[in-house]
Amino acid sequence: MNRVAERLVRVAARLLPRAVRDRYREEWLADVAGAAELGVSRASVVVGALLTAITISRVDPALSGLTLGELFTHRVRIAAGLLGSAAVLAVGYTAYGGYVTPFGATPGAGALAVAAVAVAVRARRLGVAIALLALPLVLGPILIVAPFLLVGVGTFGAPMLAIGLFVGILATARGGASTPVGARLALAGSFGLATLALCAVSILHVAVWNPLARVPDLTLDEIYAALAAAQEATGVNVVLGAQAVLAMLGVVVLLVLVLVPLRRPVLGTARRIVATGFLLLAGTTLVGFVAGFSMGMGLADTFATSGGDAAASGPLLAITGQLALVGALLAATLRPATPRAALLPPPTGPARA
Amino acid sequence: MEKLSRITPATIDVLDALLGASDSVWGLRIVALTGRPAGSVYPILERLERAGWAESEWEDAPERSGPRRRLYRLTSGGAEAARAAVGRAAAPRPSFQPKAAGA
Repeated sequence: MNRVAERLVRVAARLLPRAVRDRYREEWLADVAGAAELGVSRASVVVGALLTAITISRVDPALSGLTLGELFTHRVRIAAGLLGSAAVLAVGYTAYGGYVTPFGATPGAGALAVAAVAVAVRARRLGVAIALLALPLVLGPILIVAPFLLVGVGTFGAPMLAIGLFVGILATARGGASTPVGARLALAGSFGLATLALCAVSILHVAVWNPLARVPDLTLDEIYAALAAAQEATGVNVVLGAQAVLAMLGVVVLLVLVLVPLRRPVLGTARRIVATGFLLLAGTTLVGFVAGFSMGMGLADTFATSGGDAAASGPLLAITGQLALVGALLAATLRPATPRAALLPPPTGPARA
Repeated sequence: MEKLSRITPATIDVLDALLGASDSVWGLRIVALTGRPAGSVYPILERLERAGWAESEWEDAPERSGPRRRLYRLTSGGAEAARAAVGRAAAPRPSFQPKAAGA
């Protein structure tokens, strides 16, 4: 029981604002150790620690190490990341066109939206107001407009959208210690390989797996012969080739940005590399969806069938893309705030726990 | 020193225990003295300290190894406010006297 109680009060201490974590961890561990001496149950100490961790003020600058303005910005950033993730999960099935769930949205969207509201509520009155306003104001228009927007931005708008997202992610994913060059290259290389693999799967899905699943009675050669005879999807090879070139270009840019400028590279921290890497993966699946559009239309017109995905790889790619975009948003926004030492109480000496 | 937004019976018990102590008191001992659960006492001590009513320090007991105990005492302003709060809580409440009919 003693060890369980110790572990639980350590967990409770981890929930506290960073400024008072060490102090309360040591205090509660001493209480667990001395509980029997006073006839107090260890369970009572554990409950006390957990309740204190839940009820302690997160607003007091002396505990958070942040001014009220900084604290507000911190919480709104996290809430925005969670709400954005909820929106991505909610609209993804339409935007990517890969699948439809019974409720029209993935269940994760609801969970993330609730978490976002909870975070915003912790910012007290102003946060409550923002959360209540944000839900209908942010989610509503996104749900309605996003599918049209994605189709509408087309060839000219897509690069602008990608650059805008990239700059937004960079601006949000600030802070953190710089990562050594070897680790940066390893991380970016991993995302690069994943991007190329995802691009290969996406091309196979459009060119091989989906046509075979859509027209199961014919061989691939017969399907392509019929498409050629009907003069449908004639440029599919060029489009898929361009998709591969775009993915390779994205990987090269990722690798270059972890190295230049030499002193302070654009992607100098693990957080920025992870956020950008996820964004690249999300972009790869989205480009794959666009690249597969003419093939889908060609199959629909030639064989009088649906132009949507028939192979299981379609929904899998769509979900992967959505999760990657959520990964980029969360990597950029869910970062700890940096407390100001001047606001915190002086240290109480080295902890003995 | 901040005014406490609410002073519950549990807060009165904690203040009473601190007022009755001649020296700084171990936080867990206040739990034992009041007979209140730590789930009540710990948050109250945190609130009293943050409001400037109480202050705390580590016990100086080099003979005891392991984590140090945290000792609490009222600040001078806190002691004054605590006496007033405990006094108010102990004073009998005026009972409600309904007006006689026709008065």
